[in-house]
Amino acid sequence: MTGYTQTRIATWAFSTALALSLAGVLVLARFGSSPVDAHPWLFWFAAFWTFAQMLLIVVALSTFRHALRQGQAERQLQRVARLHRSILDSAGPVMIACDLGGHISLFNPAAERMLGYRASEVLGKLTARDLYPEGEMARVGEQLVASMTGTRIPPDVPWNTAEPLLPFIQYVASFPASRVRGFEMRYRRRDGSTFPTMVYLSAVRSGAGSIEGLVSVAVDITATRRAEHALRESEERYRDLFENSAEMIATLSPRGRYLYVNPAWQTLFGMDSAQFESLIGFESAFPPEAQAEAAALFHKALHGVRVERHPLRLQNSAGETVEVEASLSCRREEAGPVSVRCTFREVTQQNRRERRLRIQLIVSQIIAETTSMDEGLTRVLEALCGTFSCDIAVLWRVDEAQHVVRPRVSWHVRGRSSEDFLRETRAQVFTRGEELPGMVWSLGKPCWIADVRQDPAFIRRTSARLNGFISGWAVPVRVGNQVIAIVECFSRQPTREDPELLATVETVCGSLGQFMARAGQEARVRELDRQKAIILNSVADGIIGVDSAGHIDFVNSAAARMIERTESELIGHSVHEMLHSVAFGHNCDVTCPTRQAIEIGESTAGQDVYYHSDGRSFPVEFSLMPMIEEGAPVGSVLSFRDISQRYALDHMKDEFISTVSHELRTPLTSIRGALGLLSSGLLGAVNEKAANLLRIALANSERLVRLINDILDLERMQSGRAPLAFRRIALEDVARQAIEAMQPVADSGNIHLVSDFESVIVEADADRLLQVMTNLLSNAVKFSPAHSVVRVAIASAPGGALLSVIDQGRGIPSDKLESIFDRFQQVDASDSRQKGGTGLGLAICRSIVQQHGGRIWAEQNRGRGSIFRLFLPERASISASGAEEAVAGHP
Amino acid sequence: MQRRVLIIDDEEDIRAVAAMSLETVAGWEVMMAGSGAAGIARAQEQLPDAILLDVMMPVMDGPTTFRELRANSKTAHIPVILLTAKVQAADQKRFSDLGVAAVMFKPFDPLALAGDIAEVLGWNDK
Repeated sequence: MTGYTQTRIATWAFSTALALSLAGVLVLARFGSSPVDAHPWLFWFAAFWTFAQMLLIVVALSTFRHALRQGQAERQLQRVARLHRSILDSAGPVMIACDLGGHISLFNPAAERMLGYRASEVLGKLTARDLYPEGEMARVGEQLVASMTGTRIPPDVPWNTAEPLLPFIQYVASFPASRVRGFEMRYRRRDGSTFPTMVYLSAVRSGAGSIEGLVSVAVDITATRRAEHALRESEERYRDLFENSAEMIATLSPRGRYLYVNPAWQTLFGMDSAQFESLIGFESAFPPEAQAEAAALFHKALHGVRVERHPLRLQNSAGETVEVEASLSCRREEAGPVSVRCTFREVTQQNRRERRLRIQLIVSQIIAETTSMDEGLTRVLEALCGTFSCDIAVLWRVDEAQHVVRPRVSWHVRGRSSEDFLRETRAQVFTRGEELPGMVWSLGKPCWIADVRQDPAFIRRTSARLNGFISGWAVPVRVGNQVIAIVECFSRQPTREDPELLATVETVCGSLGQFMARAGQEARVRELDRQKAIILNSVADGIIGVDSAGHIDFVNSAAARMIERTESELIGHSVHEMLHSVAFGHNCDVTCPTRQAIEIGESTAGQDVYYHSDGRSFPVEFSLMPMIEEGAPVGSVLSFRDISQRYALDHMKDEFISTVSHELRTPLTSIRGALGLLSSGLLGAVNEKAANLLRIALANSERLVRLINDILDLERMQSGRAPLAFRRIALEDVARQAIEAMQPVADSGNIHLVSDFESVIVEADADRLLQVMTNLLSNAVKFSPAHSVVRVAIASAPGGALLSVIDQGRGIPSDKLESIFDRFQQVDASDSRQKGGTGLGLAICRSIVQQHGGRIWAEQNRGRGSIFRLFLPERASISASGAEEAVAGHP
Repeated sequence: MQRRVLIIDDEEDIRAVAAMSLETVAGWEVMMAGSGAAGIARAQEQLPDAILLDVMMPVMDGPTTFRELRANSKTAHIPVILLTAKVQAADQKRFSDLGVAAVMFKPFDPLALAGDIAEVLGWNDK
């Protein structure tokens, strides 16, 4: 009975008692004092009623007290229950209790939260199995069973335990409550997702001590798990970093014992971590030559100095030279240094690359800057020695012609004497394959000598030993495939063969080879330039180089001398201005030959007048050659010579000829005069023989006169001293004149002169043309037999006119058709005497015709005779070639 | 009418041949002088109808002699014909610019000399 019920009973009893009392009082009152005797039953009723009343009151009182006590106890209980409840409610962990059948009897708010059920949905409705993922209970059960091997299965496992719960009951039963361990188990939420928890299981026991159910307190360890995982991960990462780092990492105690060495460190020194742990001292891992330095670094770091990227060079376990940057620092706490961390970064490759780049850059700079090859080579040798720690370097030059190598330049470091070695080196000349340079030359590959003092093939070993050189190498300097030089370097340190070094030097020597080749070429170019300058300046003709703008860009000394200006005054100025001295007021118009020549831009020649700087002029003969590069004109070369000498010469020649002809004419005058008079018979008759002789004498004296005339004529024409006077004339007029003059001679020879003229106008010198036609006609008549016809024809031809003189005489053999126009050439030597010709007639004709820009030639007349043709251009032109020929004197 | 001609030439033979030519062919009277100076003197003295004057003479050449003759009032009117072996065009021009009556060339045709002179001077009586 609950306290409440009891209280109600008590209250009911009390109120009943009260009511009865009231009733009694009323009865009494009603019946008054006539009491009992009248009514005996009343007495007993009153006595029963009083008894009942007192019983009820006692019951009420005791029930009330009970109720009070129970109420107290209940309130106490309720307080405890509320406490427990609030504990359960506020607890973080999931608390679930179930009975032996697995039915859930307790489901705290945390469980509600974590699992997503409301308690009302779970209590009495779900079993434990529903809260776990499929197979989880079985799995964990097996685990627990396994962990319990060795303990006896306690007997007090209740018979009505649900099967899934069996292992769990066994588990909690086997341990005293205070010793239950937690285990991991996954829970399943309402939505099917699962999460890991740490479960602490305990038994609900009855008063008798038998197990009635299980309580599990479960803590969600997702976050914990994650944190652990992260930590492990992070630890793993760090570990991974160190273990796999290419950097060599070691941690040491302040006393210098190795605490941790990563695999890279181990590889460097060729020892495993066990061996390191046994070492005493940081430096003892290092090779002997590096120990002092290592110890010093450790000492520094220990005392708080941060060693950053200190370069260190040591031999690794494989004996290779390795370059590292060492960084050391110390981890300190209040008590003092705790550990020293040391990292090495290998920079061998990087250093090599840097060295290679640096030496290439240095050599390129040297090559670009120096002008003297020897100076440049010496500096390169110096750079090589500096970069590769050598003490002396020698460059040998290959002499292909003599099949030897010779030392060319050397460089050595100051300090110790290298005199002996250098002296011996300079005295050497090696053939292909001989000694170090010879070998490199012959193989075309670098060579390394570890110890030159011991190498029998090294001829200079004595002096090398004397000056302390130990190791050396040599590298070929190539241009294309050919070795043109060898660079050898020697060091006073023992060194190991370093293929990478040799490769670097070979690359550098490539640049060196190009430099040497270029210097050689430049020297040749300079030599050629010098020769060219010598030639140009020793030539008597003036040579001027003109650029495409008509400005002077080159002047040889003869040109400067002739113009009487210095080279600097001329260069850059307009050539036309310089030569024609516009400053002096000489106005050149478009007919100026030099100007024309330059503007036309073709090969031309001609004569002109140039001016000295003081305004005096001098006649020149010039020729202009355009310069074409890749099809485009880039300028021209003007060469000229002062022909005032020639003019003077010509003048002298003219004078001479004039004088000579005059001198010849003078006696001839007397001879001809005397013979003429005698021959005429006016001074008396002579006998026949005498008359004949006189006739011969006269004829020949006349011939002599003609000869003198012709020679003079031809000479003057060919030296240009007899300029033609061109006019537009009708050829037929001249031809008619010639025919008229020849008529008497023709008549006397019974030769018929026929004319066949078209009307053609040409630009010509009439007198000269007459001379030509007369000459041709005279020849034609001379060589025609009696009663034959000599025809003179004039026809127009493309560009001019064609005149033909056709005879029916002996004709001219085909091999003489050209040569008859030469001086003193006649078809038959006997002709001269017979026909009274001078042999110059046709030469004179040719000269005249050429000066007209025309052509004269002879042909054979079909059948018999000859045709002399002459073509005259409509406009007389002294073409360049025509003038040239006229000037050069070639008929 | 007898023409009187003075020949001035330093060559004796040419003088002789020219004289003979003029005398034989034309029948003229011929005087001779062997130098420019002698010629001038002779011309002043004899006042010939024409003078045949050589160009190339030492001391006083033809052109100079001609100028002298022209300068002298006595002889200024006498026509002068230059006789020269110099046949170059430049020379010819120079000579004709002097103002001589004609320029004739050596060697001359002795049979034609008189006729040529007469033609040039406009003597048509022979």
